[in-house]
Amino acid sequence: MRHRALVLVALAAASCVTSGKLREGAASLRTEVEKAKKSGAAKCAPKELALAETNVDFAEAELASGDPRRAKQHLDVAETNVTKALEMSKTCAPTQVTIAKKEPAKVVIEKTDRDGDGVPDIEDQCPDEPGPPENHGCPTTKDSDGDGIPDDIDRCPLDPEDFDGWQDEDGCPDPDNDGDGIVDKADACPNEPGPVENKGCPVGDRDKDGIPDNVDKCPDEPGPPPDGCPKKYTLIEIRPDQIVTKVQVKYATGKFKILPASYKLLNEIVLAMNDYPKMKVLVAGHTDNKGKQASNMKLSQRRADSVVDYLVTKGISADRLQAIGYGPTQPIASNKTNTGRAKNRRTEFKIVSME
Amino acid sequence: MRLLSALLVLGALVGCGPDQSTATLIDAEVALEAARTAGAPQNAAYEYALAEAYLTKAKETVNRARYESATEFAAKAKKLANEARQKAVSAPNSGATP
Repeated sequence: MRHRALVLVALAAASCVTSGKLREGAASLRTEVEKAKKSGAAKCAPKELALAETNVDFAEAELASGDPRRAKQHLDVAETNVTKALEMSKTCAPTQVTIAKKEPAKVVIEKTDRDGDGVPDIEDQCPDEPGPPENHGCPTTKDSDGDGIPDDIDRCPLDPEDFDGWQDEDGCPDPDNDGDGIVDKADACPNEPGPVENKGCPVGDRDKDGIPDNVDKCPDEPGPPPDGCPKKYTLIEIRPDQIVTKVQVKYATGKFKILPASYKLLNEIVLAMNDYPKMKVLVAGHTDNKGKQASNMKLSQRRADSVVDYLVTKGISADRLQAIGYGPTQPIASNKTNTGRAKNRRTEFKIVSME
Repeated sequence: MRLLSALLVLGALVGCGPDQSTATLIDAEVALEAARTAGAPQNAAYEYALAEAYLTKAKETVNRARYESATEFAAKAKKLANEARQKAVSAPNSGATP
């Protein structure tokens, strides 16, 4: 039995050593990434630099979540890429010539503060360790509530931290992490607010219309408040990912001015967005492939912008709208026939979020 | 009975995190697609590659049911994709308009 315990202790110690080494490796690679950035790698080797930078970040995240194996894999990728980025920057980055200016020597008398704690070294009894002035610049090691967080950084020095994985750094206990009025011990979802009748867990929303299933009279069909049932629209249909229009938005030929014939359709979009006040929409402009691609990209962007402008003038907040012109890059039919091209010239209303 | 309660609590916990991470992932994908359309792979290659890497990691993380990390990575991806799109649109040789 004692032998087994010793083996377990040895394994735990080995794991700590490994994690420690990996952390050192991550710190060293981050320094290399900074070096590569200064050498102009963002221009000379953008992909390599990005992969190196992100993989160091991922490795640190994996270490924090206790997965050294994945952290090691990310560090390997980061190392390969930072080496490439440094190598590629040598031949590509412009040579910098710095002409040093000789400045007249100044005599500066200043108070030094090696540990940066605001207490000058001359008055600091611990000049190399930060500490508050009331303790003569020395660190406060007192821990009144015995939670392992020293009083000088403990926001609740007399109330021990509960270390439940929720804001454990502040030194204050969090008896109700999600603030839903149900104490964590009795809360089945302590980090997400939810009603008592659902044991403190958020109520589901199957149709994602923002109305919880327990008050949604049509829980499988998206619909606006108060009952969550779909409204009857004549020119549009609301689907989970898109507002489908039964007719196309019409513009003046080759221009981005909306024709009055389309106002009825757009007014119905306004109605739908008022019915779903949290809905965010991406207005996507598309063209056929006739003409120059650059002109089509501009035209589709301006047409999408016109639609957004119209909706904003009807009271929809600009924060809820985004316009993107895709030009001819996303056809839905053949561009070889008139019918196909007509289908490709379209404006779509994609639902980005409902919450 | 005790086992049944434990299973109910576990089921509820598993169902708690995915919604937000999925929404953030969709946002990030839309932003990355917009950046790509604006020519970011050519005109803002560094920012675009960063966004792409974070989005890939977010997808991998969500598959491991680590929704909080996935949401963080996806949010970073979205922010970087927007930066990439902005940079690409204002690049002198860009064909797109903001």
